[in-house]
Amino acid sequence: MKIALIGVSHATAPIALRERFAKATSDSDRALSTLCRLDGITEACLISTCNRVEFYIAGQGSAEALLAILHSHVQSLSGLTQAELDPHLYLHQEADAIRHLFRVASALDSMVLGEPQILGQVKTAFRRAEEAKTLGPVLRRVFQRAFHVAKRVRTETAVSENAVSMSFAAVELGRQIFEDLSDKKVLLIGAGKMANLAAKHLQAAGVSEVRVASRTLLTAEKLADEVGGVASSLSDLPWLLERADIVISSTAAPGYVVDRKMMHKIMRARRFRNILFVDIAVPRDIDPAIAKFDNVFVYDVDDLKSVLDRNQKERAKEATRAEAIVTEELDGYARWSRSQEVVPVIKALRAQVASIVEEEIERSLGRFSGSPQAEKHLRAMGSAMTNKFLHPVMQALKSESASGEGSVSLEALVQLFDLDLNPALNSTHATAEQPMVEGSNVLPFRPNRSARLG
Amino acid sequence: MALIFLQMTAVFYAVVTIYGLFRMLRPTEGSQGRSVSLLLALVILVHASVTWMRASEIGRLPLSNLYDGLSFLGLVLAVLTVSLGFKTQTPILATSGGALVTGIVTVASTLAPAHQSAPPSRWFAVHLATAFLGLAIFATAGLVAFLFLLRRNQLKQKRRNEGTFKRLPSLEALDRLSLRLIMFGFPLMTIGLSTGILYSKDVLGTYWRWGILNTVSVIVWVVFAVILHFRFTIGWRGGKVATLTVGGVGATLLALFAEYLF
Repeated sequence: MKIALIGVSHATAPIALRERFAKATSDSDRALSTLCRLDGITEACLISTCNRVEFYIAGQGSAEALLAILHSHVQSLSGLTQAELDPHLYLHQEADAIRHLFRVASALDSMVLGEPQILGQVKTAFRRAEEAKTLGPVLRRVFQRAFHVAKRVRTETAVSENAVSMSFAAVELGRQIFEDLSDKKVLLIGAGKMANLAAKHLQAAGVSEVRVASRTLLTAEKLADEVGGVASSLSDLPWLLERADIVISSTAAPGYVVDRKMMHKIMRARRFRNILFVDIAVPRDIDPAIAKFDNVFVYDVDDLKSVLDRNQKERAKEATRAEAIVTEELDGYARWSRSQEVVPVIKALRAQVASIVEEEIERSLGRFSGSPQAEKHLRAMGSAMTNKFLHPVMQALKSESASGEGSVSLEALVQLFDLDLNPALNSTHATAEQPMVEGSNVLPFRPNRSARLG
Repeated sequence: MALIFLQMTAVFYAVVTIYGLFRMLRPTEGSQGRSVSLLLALVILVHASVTWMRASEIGRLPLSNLYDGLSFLGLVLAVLTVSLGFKTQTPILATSGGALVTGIVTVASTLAPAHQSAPPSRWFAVHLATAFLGLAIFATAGLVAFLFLLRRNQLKQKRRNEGTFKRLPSLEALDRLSLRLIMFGFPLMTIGLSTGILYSKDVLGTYWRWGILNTVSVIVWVVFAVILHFRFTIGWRGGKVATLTVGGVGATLLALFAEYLF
């Protein structure tokens, strides 16, 4: 099983292109099952946030072949030519893909380094794939490792400590526009985690009112409860915009929620007071054309980047430490996954030897009918011989796999003993031995704990 | 004698302004740039003493010609910008005020102080005092509006709030300050214009004569009247108002120079 990844992110693609992908994959169930119907792909997971859209797949065959299949699928989703699309894509396979996921989950690849939302978003992606039944053992394991890495990065480094996120930028911008935030009103249009956080930041900065507007009053009320605000219906939007000073928009609407014509009227009604839009939705909610109006300031996710760059530098140092954790975890993961390769070989070898021994014992037992006592001793002897014979082989394989050179001996073993590696076809007595096999052979994955002390 | 002192004052203004601009472009972390305001305050003291010398020389308030008028304008403008800079913690206002004052005082110090005869009309002193005071206030409003435009462009172009921008107050604060200055300056300007008309009748025998300064003054007065009118009726503010303010003040100052230089 190989892993491959294709993605676009804030670092490689403009917002318009990310919007295309976000729209094309808005029905995640369908997008995931479409992926799994592609040739050779058996597992798929899709991360879609305002800053990135990433397709993770696992399947049979070479990683290059998987990437090629995924690439043509991604291209057909985008509706662009290869020349237009390729400069914005990144393609990774195997260890690189896993490293990328580790970095994404740890917010090391985020626009705002160390921001807290991304882990939740990756977990959501994982859950969606689980619900769509497109996860298999490979991706499930990799994603769970990614969550573990993210947790380590968060607890062991200060990357996320002063993780001012985009929500912080809203406060920062608010201060540049408004003299005093204490008489200012905030409006959230739709709400995600980001918008919630922004509202909390603004409340901490002392704004006088937070209103939440959503398509249904029910969700608005729920969100309003969370942030301690007032719920409103989205149908009152013109009236709400007339009163609000800072608007944070994060709806999943495919088109603009606030457009030019609407805003033109509203600005008159507002007596041309300043209004700040922070549009963290992808696709965008706020028509960028209204930024041309006097006293209207519109920041989308890309614009926030320029505001936030300054904080990035301070956290870059901690990021180096976080990257070291990612590398270390990746090594640990690689070791573990190599050790997993050993398991079926050892299983098969043991099954083969055990079946030979058993066969010979049966034959001997048939030749001289001994007492049940003798039969028991004979069987015990057979099993002891099997274990003694296999012990040095297993030790050698384990130490080789730990040092990363295992595959040569493994292949030799498979060839020399003509091993059948498909466990489904294993004979019954091999299955009967399984508890013992697992207990002795499967190496549970243990991250390098000594490093945590450092 | 006073001329040399005024020329020296102009040099002082220039030096402090250049220092202020230097500090603005290469701000040191944690510094509010107060040193510029303090130095400007010292120059203001020098300027005030020069004005006092001139007053005692001619025996009344030195306002009766362009030389004295411009010097007076510069002094008031410097006092306004430095004190507002202190009050709003915007040393950049003092620095940009310093730049404008440097220009005005330099022009003044190239003029020869005319020998003073008695004022030709009783309206003359009132006209000059109110017009120059009003103009000084308008010029300050123009500077504030200029800073507003800087801040607005930074926000519109999504540039980071650092360096010079970090020293700017919020848009709203600048807008409010500019409006307040216009509100103070406007009545003074109105009195200045009306007394100018009366003075013109006394001296020239006609209420109105079309000249550069007169024309521009009336146009700018109308512009400010329009700004104030729409501010209070439909809430006009922001970028357009700031552009008009900067344009109006610039035009008036240029007209003032043009009237006397050509």
